[in-house]
Amino acid sequence: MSDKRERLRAIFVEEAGEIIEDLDVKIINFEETPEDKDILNDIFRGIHTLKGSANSFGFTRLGEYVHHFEDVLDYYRTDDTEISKDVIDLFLDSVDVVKEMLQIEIDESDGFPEKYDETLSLIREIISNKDTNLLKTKSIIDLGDEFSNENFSDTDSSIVAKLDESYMLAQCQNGEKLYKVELLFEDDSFTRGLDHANFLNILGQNGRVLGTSWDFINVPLLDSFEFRKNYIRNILIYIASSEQIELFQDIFEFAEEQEWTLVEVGQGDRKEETVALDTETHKELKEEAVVEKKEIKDEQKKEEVKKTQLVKRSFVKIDTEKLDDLFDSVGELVISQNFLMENEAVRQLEDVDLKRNLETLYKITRLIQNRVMGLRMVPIRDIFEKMKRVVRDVNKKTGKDADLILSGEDTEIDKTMIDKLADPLIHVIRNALDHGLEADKEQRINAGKSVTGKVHLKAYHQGGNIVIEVRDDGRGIDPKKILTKAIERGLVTESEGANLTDKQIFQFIMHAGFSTAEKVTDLSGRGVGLDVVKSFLETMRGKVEINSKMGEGSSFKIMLPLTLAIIDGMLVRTSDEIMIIPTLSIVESFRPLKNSIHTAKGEGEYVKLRDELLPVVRLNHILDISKESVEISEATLVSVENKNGKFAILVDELIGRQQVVVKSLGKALAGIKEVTGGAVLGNGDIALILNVDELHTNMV
Amino acid sequence: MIVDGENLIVSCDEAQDEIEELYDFIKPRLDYIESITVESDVKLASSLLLQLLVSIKKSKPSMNISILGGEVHESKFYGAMYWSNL
Repeated sequence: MSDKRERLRAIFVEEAGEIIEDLDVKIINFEETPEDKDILNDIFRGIHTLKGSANSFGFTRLGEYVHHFEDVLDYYRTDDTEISKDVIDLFLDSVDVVKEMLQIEIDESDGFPEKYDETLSLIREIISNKDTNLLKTKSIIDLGDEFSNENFSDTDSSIVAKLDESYMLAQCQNGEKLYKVELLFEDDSFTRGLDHANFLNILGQNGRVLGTSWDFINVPLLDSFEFRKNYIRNILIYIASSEQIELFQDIFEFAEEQEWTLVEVGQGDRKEETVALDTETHKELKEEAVVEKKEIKDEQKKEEVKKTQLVKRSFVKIDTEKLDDLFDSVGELVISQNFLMENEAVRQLEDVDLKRNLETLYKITRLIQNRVMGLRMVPIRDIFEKMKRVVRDVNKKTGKDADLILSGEDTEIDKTMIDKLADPLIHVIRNALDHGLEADKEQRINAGKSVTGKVHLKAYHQGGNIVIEVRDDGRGIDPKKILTKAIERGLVTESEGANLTDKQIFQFIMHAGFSTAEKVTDLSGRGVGLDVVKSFLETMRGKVEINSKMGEGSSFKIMLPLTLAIIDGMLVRTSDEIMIIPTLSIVESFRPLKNSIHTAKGEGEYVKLRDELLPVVRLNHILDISKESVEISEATLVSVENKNGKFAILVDELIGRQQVVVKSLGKALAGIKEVTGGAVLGNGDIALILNVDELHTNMV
Repeated sequence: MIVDGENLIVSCDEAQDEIEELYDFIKPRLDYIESITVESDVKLASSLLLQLLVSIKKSKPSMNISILGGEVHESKFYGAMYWSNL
């Protein structure tokens, strides 16, 4: 095969993968809103594209199958026949066949997917019941229209218009346009006279503000609050107005280019106006209206072209490796800039202009860093949507009836993490459905619950981290059962187990091979699933918190850092070394009183903090930095929590909280399990990032 | 700004210097104030007020601040105001 053909084949495989990837999500969305034929048309177009490309690249078995799949989709999209649950099942099974078939073609192996014959015969059965010739003629005409009217490459309608925008658009009255404004003011905006409220009020004078969304993630606690410093990360404003876009552009004349965006989303529905004019008594008006309508149509066409151009300009495919390289370079830039700012000679400079220039350089560097970080962030929506299929499949297999309730789908997360999040999330959700929910409807009714079980999947930001929460309203986890199993497996002794809290006991279910399920199903129960979650969390520097109440349900809170490239850490000093403790693991820091310190012979040192007795870990001893043993009462203790519980790290000094760019350690240091990486500090020193999970492992 | 026992009443149209007064007033008294009622029948004069209220809420989550009570606040001037990362 020539290089060019090989390259084209690779492009086809990638694009086919993209088309197939979210087909099942679209099918489930269609099942939820069967009246929305646009979804079905969208699925059909994807399959149609796949058919053409597959055949031209010699993937004939795939081409043949999708040809039949296309026929059945075409039948339903052009007919008003009600689509039953069985047909949706057939669509989903067909998607599975297409996925497997593509892999078989890529591997150039023989054979067909398991459900190939079964689905094909069902498709043929449906088609044979209809006059296919008539349908085919119709489909060719329809397809021709679609090809001429739409930008075919942009098959994902969600890119063009999101649900909330449709709602806002529906609020627009005749002749009004919907504008979307985003304000992204810098932290010195108030001192420069830029106040979000002023802009909001001026916008309101020129239209109707329909809705706003304020992001307060950067707002600190009152202790660190600096008055007149802007902490509002961004504000999204939807405004309906009959004014032209230029008028709104003028409003932002004094703001920096990067501090605002303005997009015309669309225009209000004019149908009502046309109907009102369509009467004999208003003949003249009608004629005028026709002229006006034509002008409007021309304008709308122009707007559509403009919108298409906007979309084309807005989305560029970039290899994630290139993004990673860019991020590395920006990391170096930030470090060099920190060197410069911490340089003693620079700090003593008295030249005001030079100082101002350095300050500008600092701000621009931070801006670049934030923007590059933003490139890696994607909404969690796609992965959440995929879970609908998981729930549907499990419902079908177990005969249970459960709803998946999603929230926080727009929460953004690092692309690297999202790629790895699917498997663990599937395991947690399957676990919730299979073991969390009651075995049958009667049990739920007897427990006074609704017949339909509920699994909530929620994402949100909390203290610089992202939290993904899976909560069910099922029977809950029995801590006694877990503890018995943990003792049986030798994970804990009976006496140690007696002192554990329920939360600590629940953590045992994350151990490899740990399962209390009496019945092993092919969904869960082998104790493998949650081990996948544990491995994922270890790689991602995250943690899981399990809460459960018997009879009421359970929740799995997966906490992850926003990104893997930057870590929010507490810089601490032990002897002469600076170390970084990830803030995600820190509970609090404190200076112990003399009478709260206890020493048990052979069992180490402990400190009593309120009602808890925390083991003390001397960082300098554990990392072999020095043999010095300072009095605990004269040191600072940082209470941290890992998978086994809480303990206190003894340090000489707390330096401060800082975001640092994570650098991997060389091979020589890679074997030290107590550290996960390093970071270059502003003064050029290297600080090691502590692996809290490995600092104290023998507590349980 | 009106102090009514443990409740503080502020108006959306407070200017920046008035908000600074509020900031200076509330910082040392955070423990004693239980709720803040924000009169929102007037236009917002400065977004400094909102970020200050959010900072107060973050510092004392038990504080009841009328317009930050839910994820969304309906305003007659600004439509549905959604708050994230409160």
